[in-house]
Amino acid sequence: MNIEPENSTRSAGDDPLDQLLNEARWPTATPDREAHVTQRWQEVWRVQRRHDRLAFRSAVLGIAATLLVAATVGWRWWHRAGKPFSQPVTVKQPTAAPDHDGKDAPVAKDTRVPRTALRPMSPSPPVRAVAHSSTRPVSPTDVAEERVLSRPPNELEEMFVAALVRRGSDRNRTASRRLPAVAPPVPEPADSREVRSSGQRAKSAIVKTAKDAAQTAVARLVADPKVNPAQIAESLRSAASDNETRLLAILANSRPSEQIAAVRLLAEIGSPGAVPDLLRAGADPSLRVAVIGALSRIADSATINQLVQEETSKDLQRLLLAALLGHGDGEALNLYLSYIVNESTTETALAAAESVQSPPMDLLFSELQSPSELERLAAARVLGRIDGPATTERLIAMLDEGSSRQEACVALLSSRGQEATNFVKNARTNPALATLLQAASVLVSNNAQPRS
Amino acid sequence: MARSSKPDELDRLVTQHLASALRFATRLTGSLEAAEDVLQEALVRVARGWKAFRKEAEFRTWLFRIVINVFRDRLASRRPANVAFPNDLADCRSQDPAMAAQTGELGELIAARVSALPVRQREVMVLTAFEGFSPKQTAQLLGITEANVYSTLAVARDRLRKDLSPYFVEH
Repeated sequence: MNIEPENSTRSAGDDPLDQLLNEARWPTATPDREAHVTQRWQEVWRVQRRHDRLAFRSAVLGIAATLLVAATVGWRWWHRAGKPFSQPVTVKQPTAAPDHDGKDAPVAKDTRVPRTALRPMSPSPPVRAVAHSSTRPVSPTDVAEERVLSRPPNELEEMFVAALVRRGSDRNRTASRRLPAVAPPVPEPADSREVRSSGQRAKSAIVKTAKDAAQTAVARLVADPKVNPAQIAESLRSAASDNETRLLAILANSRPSEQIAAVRLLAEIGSPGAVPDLLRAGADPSLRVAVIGALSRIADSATINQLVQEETSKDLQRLLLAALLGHGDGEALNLYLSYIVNESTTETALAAAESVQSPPMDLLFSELQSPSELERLAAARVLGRIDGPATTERLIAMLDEGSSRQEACVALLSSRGQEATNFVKNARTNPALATLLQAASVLVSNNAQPRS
Repeated sequence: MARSSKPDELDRLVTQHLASALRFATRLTGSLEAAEDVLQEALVRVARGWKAFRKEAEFRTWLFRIVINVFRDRLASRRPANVAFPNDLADCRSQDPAMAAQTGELGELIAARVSALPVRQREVMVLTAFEGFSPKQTAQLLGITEANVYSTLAVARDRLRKDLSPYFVEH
């Protein structure tokens, strides 16, 4: 390959222009730059090769899947056409069977149909003979001698049959998972148990395993309620759906202590599908606290909001509001702030903020720039109640930057922390900040009612 | 229908010609930074279209054609920003040629003049005068006739001769 030396040109001729061109010097690439380009090429090439391999495998898989589907469809078509696979049978051809024209059909000899001679789509001569003979009146002896020509399946067909049988078994297993385990078990007669299919036995084993695991977990939590339910629930996560069903069954038909344990475990592994059962269980006052705790973990914000509105107990309402704030999404936060804005629930909602371990701080700070002044001040009061050195530092930084200064002042005035208190005390000596704090104080003392 | 190049062979060829391609792109763009950008984009195209490379074609020609295509695309997409030609070069004739030669800037000035030629003239001039391509190969690479290569080359040389005339005295 012709690799030219650096900045080489053609040989200079007599033309002065050629001599000048021979002097041309472009910037020379440093080794680092060349190494960078080489590295870039290697990265690009590696990614492209991986992409090519994936494309090739996808194409192969697509072809294989197409062939498999075509073969399956063909086998099914063959099966529906009434051509079951079986061993070749030796048949005795009835003599002198009349054909359509009333003439005698040719007499066929006793024969074994060779496997290779079978053609599914074009019946062999003996088959045609049998078909023709079906037009005559059928006698009992004819029925007995009616023959079905068939052949044993080849290896490919056996594989399809095995796959279909296995798929049927899987379908049975899936159906067993959908069975409502809430219903009490019905004792079966001994003889019916004996005739269970293997699929039914497998289904029973799955349900029994889930039942045992769930009951064991509940028993452990009842024995020691101080144990972290998340640790016990770890053993239930592998078959969470079955265990959830079993826990709901325990919730419906057990002693209160077991019900509470079941609810606590549902808080760990429950799905939104368990919410209706939990809401029903929440009607029982002894279960309500546990149910609310579980709902805050697995229910959506709209459901929790509905529970807050229906709850009359301030303590439970506070718990639900804490769950709403701790939910962490924007919709839940907006619902929560609406309870801050509402005077009748302001104090309960603010008290709830203190019990949230990881409130959505970024969302709360972003609410300080909300177009709605009500929401801005509500978020500021919540931030003040959450308090903490980090929050105070962030609020002071907002004051320095000049963004949302009024809301930051409201939050700092609402805060009970030492850092915020010290800052407010010092800021009152600063004329510029003192005016701002005074205006914010009016807002706070007026129950945070905004200016109209 | 020839078979596509094997991936390993292509990798080897690209690595072997990277420096050459970078030099070619530098001569086209007049700037090392712009040349690196052009070459990186060209390498992406090489990776994506490596199956299009036929063994009977010379790899260097194929790679340079891709570099030229990327170069043209970049010119078309942001023509106003593609001013690799320094603004003060228009006044180079007012400088003392002897002084320029003594300070070692003459080579850079000539290179800048070549890299400031109109696109087609620049491509033809760089390929024939600096990359060693014959007019026939240049015509094949650029997709034009051989006669067109000769005429373009003549126009480019006239232009350079006029621009660089102050320096003829020294040579």
